[in-house]
Amino acid sequence: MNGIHDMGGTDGFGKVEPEANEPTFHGAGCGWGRVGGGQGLAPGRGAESR
Amino acid sequence: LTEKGYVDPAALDRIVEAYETRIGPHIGARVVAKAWTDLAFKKALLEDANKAIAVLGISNRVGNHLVAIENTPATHNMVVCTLCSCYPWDVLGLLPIWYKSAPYRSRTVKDPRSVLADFGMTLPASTNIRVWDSTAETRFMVLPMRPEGTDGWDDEKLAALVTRDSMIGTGFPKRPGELNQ
Repeated sequence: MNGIHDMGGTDGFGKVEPEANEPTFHGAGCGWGRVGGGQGLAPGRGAESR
Repeated sequence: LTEKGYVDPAALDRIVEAYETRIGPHIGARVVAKAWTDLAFKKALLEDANKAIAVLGISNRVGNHLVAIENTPATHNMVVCTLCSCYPWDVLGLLPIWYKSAPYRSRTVKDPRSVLADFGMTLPASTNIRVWDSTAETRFMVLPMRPEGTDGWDDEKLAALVTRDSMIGTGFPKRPGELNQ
């Protein structure tokens, strides 16, 4: 692939910023992480909710 | 989406709950601990990870091919997905934000040592670093080296030493003295 998705070797994005004690889903206040994450996870993962 | 009937919020809640409570790096940690104590299992894991983890009752649904790669004093392994965020969900759970970030995806294949430095990790100059680029079909998990001072430990105690990052290749397992940290 040659396009914007292929980031391997691309310069200029800076440092990696690991997050200590990262939550499973972000957005604890308004819940966007759970809602958006759940929708993203849904295709093909019905079995996990059983 | 809910109003149009495309998604059922209750179903989404159950999927989210599964990833919050049941599916996570503790599954991969169990696999690593078993490989540290059972040589036959380790051999099977490195030969065919899908088949080996199935024996432990773990299925690999995300991507149909799981590959386990062993760290040694001579070779350290790191996993990345340069195209997007392919990750071994079934054994490590939800991926960390940094795994899908531009800095990690771009630099890991070009300058892995500097990426490890961002994680506060330094390897001996004599250690080769091998980077594995994931695909939709093939996912990788790193089998880290067993920490010293753990002779005679059982699987459960060993699993507590295995961190998520150590199975991605961006961290070491905890040492015995770090167990409660």
